[in-house]
Amino acid sequence: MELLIDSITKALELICNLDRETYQILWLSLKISTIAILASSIVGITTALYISSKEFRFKNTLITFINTGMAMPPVLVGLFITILLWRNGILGKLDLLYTPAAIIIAQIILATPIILGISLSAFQGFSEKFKLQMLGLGASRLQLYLIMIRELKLPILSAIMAGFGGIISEVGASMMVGGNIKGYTRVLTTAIVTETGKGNFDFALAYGIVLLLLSFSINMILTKIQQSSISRHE
Amino acid sequence: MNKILEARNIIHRVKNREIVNIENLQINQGEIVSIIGENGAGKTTLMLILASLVKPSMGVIYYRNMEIERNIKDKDYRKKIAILFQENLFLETTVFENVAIGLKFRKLPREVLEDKVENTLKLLKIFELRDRRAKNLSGGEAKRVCIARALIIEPEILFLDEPFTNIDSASKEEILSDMGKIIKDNQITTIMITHDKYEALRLPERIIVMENGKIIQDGPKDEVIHHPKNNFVASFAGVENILEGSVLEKRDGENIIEVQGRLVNVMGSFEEGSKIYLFIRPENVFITRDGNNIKTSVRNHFKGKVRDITNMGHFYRIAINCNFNLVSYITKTSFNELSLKIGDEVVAGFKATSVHIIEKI
Repeated sequence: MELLIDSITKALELICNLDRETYQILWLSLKISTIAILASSIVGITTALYISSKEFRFKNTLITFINTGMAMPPVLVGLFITILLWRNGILGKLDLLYTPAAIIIAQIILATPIILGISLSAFQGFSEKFKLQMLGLGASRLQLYLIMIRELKLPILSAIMAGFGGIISEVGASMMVGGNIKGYTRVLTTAIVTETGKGNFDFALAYGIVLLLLSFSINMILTKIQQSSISRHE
Repeated sequence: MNKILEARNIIHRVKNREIVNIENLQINQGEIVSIIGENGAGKTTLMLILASLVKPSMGVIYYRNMEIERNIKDKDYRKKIAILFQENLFLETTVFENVAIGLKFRKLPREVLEDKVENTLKLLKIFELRDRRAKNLSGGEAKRVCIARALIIEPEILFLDEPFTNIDSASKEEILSDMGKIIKDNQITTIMITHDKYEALRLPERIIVMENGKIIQDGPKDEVIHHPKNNFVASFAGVENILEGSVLEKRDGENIIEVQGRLVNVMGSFEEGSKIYLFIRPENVFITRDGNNIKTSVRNHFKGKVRDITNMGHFYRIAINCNFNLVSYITKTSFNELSLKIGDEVVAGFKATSVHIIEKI
């Protein structure tokens, strides 16, 4: 108990003083996850729109793969990216292994199926008559898709929040493809693992609290957007 | 008349089932047409094909003699039409934004858009609703918003798919009247699908009847009403007396038909033994208490008993059983003079010329 109280006290001190290293780790985590979530959102939402608006063979099989991808273990993604980016791998020449870019790629692969899967089910549930009504009033396909995204912003924001939650808290893939290099690829989750391993529970707790605060702040912004549109619906 | 829309050799199949099969259909500029038919007749699919919202399995649609997709892109064609469904299908926003959506699709400048929306809202008497959320409106108000949304884009062709279902009759009459005025004043070609007799007859001048994906009757409103080609059209057109019989005799443009053991004289030249339907409008059926008073030119009169009496407001509906059922509409004055009661014995009759007959297939 004493250890816990001591650790929390020291963690709070660290947060209040926010040293250069903690700031750097926080900023890198935020940067990586933001880029990854933006890219995943674009890829996930547009792919979901495409799949929902087309009929093709093996569509159900593809949807099964997407749904499976929503529960993909981060270490498996990490392993897959590592093999791809390994010096002798298919993308080895890009020299991306153990760089922030490699973590971004891994996080995009983790978040995309989540955003794609949830958005796809929202688009598939969208009224066919509504689409015909918009087209019948002169909407182009692009205008129709933008309207659909606007009308479905609640489930789409939920999809983005779920995707963000998945990548900001993952550690396996970031550790494997980023290498947890101090000052370069160390993010909040890998820092917690490192400090815990070293027995520096105060540092680990401090990073943990910062991670929670970061996650809370971003989700608060998204929830605010989501709830404001709910209240407008009433 | 200028042809605005034409469908040629349209066949549409869904899972190998033929939904629509139309050899040729032409709609003229400024025409108001209603398409009627039973559920599953293919009306809505035909409308969606004409609106280029569904691609038919075979066949082509021409807009002003331009083949859609070959001479004019379907998205450009859709900019010239508007569609209004039974459901209101609103965006999650205000009345103003909902009405403005078609203009936004056409990328009109904001100031032009605002003026047009305000004028249209005033025209449809819903200006005070402009800042309300569209999804919170009552049925009649919501329908007016839908009409405003469709008319604001000044469509050349307006498609209406059972637009007034679920609206009370008072609101329906008001809305139909206001919308009809705008459509006629602006000569908007209108194609309306409906199940409702009142809607089908209120505005359109031409009625198209569909059955099993095919057009079985297409003509001016009066012709369709007075010469229905099947039971559905007859009952839709208000012909309450639909009798089945067989031709006993054919002579000089007349047929003697046996209906439930009674003989009926009609104008026709069907061969003996043919099975036919007889359609008699209830307003053409007279009732008398005394069989001797019947005019000599009336060939068909039958003794029967009053089975049912309904006060319809301006007139009475009398159902008589004379081996077959016959319905007659009589005025209040006639009803009072005859002082009819259920079970009374009467004589009901109709002229041979007031019977419309078709062969039973």
